[in-house]
Amino acid sequence: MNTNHEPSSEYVIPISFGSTEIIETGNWGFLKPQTSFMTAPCQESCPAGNPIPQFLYLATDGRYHEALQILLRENPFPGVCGRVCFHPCETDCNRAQYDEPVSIRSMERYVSDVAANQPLNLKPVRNEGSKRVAIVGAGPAGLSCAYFLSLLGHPSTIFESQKEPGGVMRWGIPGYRLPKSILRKEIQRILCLPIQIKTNIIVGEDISFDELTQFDAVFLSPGAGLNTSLSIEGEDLKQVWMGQDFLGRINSKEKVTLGKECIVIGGGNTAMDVARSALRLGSKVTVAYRRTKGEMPAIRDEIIEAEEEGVRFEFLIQPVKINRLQNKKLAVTFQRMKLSGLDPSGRPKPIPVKRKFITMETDQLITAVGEQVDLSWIPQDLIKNGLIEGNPSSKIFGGGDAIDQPRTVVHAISSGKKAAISIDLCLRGESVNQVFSKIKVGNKGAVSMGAYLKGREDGEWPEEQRIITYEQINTLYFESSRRVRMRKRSDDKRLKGFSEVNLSFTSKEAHFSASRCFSCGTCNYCYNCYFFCPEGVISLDPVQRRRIVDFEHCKGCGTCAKVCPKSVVVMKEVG
Amino acid sequence: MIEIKFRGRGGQGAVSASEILGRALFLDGKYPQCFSLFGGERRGAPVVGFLRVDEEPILLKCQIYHPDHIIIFDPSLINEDEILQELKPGGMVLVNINEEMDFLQSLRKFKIGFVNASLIAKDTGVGSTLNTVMLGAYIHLTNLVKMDTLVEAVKTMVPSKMEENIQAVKEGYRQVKIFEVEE
Amino acid sequence: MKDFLTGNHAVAHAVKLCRTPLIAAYPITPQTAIYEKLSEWEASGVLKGIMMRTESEHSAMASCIAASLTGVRTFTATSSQGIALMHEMLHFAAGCRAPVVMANVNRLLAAPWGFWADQLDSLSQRDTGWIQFYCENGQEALDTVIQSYKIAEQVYLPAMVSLEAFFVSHFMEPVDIPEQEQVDRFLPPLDLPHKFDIDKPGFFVPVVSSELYRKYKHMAQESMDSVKEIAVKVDQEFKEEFGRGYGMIESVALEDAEVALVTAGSITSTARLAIKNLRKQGNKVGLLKVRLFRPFPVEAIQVALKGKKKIAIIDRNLSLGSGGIFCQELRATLIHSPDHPLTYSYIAGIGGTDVTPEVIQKIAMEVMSRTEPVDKPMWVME
Repeated sequence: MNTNHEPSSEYVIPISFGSTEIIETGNWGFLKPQTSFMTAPCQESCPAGNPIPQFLYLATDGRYHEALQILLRENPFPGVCGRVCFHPCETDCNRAQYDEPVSIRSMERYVSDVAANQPLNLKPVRNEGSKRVAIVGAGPAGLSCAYFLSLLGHPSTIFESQKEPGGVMRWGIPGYRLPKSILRKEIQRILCLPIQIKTNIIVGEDISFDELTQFDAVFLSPGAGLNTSLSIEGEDLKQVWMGQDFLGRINSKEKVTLGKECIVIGGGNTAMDVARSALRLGSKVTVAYRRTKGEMPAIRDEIIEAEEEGVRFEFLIQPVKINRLQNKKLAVTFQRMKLSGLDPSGRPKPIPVKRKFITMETDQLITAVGEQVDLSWIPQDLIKNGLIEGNPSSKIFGGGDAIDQPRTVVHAISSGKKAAISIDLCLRGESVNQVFSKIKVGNKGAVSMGAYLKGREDGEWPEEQRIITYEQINTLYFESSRRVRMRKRSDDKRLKGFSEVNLSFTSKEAHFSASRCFSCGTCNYCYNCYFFCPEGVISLDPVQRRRIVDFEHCKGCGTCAKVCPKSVVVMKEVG
Repeated sequence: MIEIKFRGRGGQGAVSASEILGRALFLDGKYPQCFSLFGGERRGAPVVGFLRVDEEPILLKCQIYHPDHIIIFDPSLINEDEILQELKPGGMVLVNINEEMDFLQSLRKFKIGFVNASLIAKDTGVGSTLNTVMLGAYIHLTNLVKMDTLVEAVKTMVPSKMEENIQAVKEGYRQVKIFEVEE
Repeated sequence: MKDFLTGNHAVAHAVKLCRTPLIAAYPITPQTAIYEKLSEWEASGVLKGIMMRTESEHSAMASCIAASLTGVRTFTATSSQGIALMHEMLHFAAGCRAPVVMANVNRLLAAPWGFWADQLDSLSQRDTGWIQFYCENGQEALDTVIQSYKIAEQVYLPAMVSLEAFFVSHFMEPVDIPEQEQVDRFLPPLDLPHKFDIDKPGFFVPVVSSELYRKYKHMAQESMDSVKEIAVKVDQEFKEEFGRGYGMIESVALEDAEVALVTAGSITSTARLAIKNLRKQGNKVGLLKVRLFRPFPVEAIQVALKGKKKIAIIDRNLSLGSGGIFCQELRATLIHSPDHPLTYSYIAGIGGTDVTPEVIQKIAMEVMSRTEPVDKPMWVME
């Protein structure tokens, strides 16, 4: 470097051909920019703690394989969740306050589909003292637990009562929402890991509970497979079916023949799946629910799609009696209901309207009013309120629909992840609570496997991150836009079979949808700081995902912090 | 040198009329000079345009206080006292007026042209802009430029409705009623 | 080709004819028509250069300086508050020896607010190191922009062409637009020795010692002085090519004049008519037009006014606490004149007030009758 600062005298003005680099202007300031990541609200809301801004950043850049790999670090079922998740992430998306939320679920699906054939790139940790874990049930919770245990170096054995793994994803959710081929691929990806699976094994019959306790740890995720009974007269009639049985038969490719008209009782996701499946078998379907549409626990998209397809809804009625008529039809008597006060779960409570009844005739009635856990084979000390409660001191853990948590696929995955971490900590004799507070993603219960692995291996636990609010986003830098509606199979084709209803994004739509992400609290290399830095001391490397400031020459003016659209750069006092 | 004052409301085309006439005089090889009082341009507000023209370059860089001709685009802007005060002796007034009127008696010492420009503009399809009608009437009154030259200037200056505007010039020329000075 | 144009559009034509590759500007009344015309031409492809629409006049000038130092011709146009905001960068332009050319439409400086003609905006930039011209009509503004490039690019100093709001900027008159080939012949391409060179990286405006600062200022002063000679030469060349010339100053009927009026800008034009009227009435009154204000053509003025007994300077500007700015300059110019003429300062036309031939004739007649010196400026209030 030429350090000669004497200006050349050949010209009418002084020009220096030396470099100003030797002047360490960085000493002049008392503030320095620092990158300080915050947790995006979408990520906090995702029970699996999916790294949403990060995967969308990579997707914007067309790096779908990398995007999938970082999703797989937290969730082995992106293809499933990208289709059937109730997407609390979109509800809490900061962009929803600006124009419309980012299409996070559809992007998870797109990334997972595009990169589906790529091999799993995650290396299990080396674990000298590996232990064997028994898992009961190969649903989303059990498979997730086995998957994350493998990443932590623990082999496991899964005992599955059905002939194939998948649980509710395999036997409950119909193909038009979740094609079996997608599920199969994701399960195969998991089963490539050191996991042994034993199907057609019923614990309590083919193997005793005591035999399970021979393993170093046990994870119980049998699901909630028992239909809840209506407990009314006529429930045992031949034309009255149970929702789960009905879906199971369809998902087993059994030929099912339904009557012309069908009434479905219930307002949850099972009821919607039953109604829409019945529609596809040629029935005229009416859903009867005892509250109103607003209280239906089913995912909103499912209700909308059911309506689109022609399912009729009757609200504020509850069946009280079923009679078989001479003409072989059923006469279902309903009690008229009204909403009054709140029930213990905080929902409006339906109460009967005295002496008001209606009767509907139908060929078929299918009930879908909730499921219960079969606890016949579980020791009493692990049961609480009809659900399983694990006992870490005896190294028994529970998860999925069988424990006290919302019955969604993503909650099941989350419980499998937490159990895997708990088992790892337990088997290594470490305190569970201390670690969980370090790896939490926000304050809504999600934990990060990535953070756990890093902390466990390198001893580097992440600093606690705050949640970035909408007010902290510098929205001036974003152009308002609508989100892309995913194309759907056309109505006439849609009801002819069980083909997937929602068609994928095109690559263009996917790129646009990903680029709508604000990247709340995360650097997505928008280059604002780079372009606005008056000193030219910022360099960015999107490939290595690095942002470097030349502190010897940064005067601490704060421009970069001001122009960062997501408040990632903050000025901190030095010296 | 002839000095002309154009008085109208924003949107009626008083200022553009001064410029079209200026262009026509320029095409005739004369030395015109156009300007308007600027600063408050908006639709509906009173506006004033000026035009000087001479056989040689004009040196004056100041305003016009006593014009030879006054052209008034809006009946509501006719102020007889003002005209009497401003107009040069032997001057001429052209007004857009919508009725056969026996008024402006105090101005009968000047040559006066009456034209129902608003109606002609509507009939010929140019809308609410009166510049071409008023100019047609004006050249009939003064013979300052030939019809052909004015039409050529209109062609280069008017952005749209060319045929309608040329028709408007001709109708203005045809329909203007001229009152000569009473002896 | 002759056309019927406003002063603003005449300036835009000049910029186009000079093939200026970079224009950086911010709109401000009454200059906006220049900006709009150039924008329109940029959009239609008639203008080959780039229009930078900056967020302020300060940035516009900064952009012009930086672009100029890459060795390209640059232009900006502004007025009033705009040139005031540019002030810091005006010093930089001159100090960087960047031959930027600017059109300034003379408009009063707030407060109070107004859009009317007043030369204070550019005259208060007189010490920034810019060459300054004052023009009396659109034709002269067009011609002076072309001349300014040729002068500025020889002395490496920026040049400002001032035309008054309304009386020049908005007056539509016949203007002769030169042919492109003529301008190409007249104006050689810019060849700036001190420009950025990617093969030899360096930086401008480093910190310098006191001695070096003095050295560069002295060099700049010498360059500025040389403008007086170069401007005359360029004007002659211009006359040869285009048939029009202006000089740094112009004398009108001065030879036998007992009273000499001194004017700049559009008042000069009206004064030409006033002089004719006065002469017809038998009054020996002459006129000196000052076209070049920086550098002030001291020697030429001394020669032109030699032997004059009474001089009246009409200023459409006011330096509060002193008086008319042209008057100050003139008094300083004549300080060593052997015959010690009486100089009278008249403030007329401030804030765009009208200066008619009658006003000018009144001033001349008043001066004819005066015998005693008056130090204070005299305000013409109608």
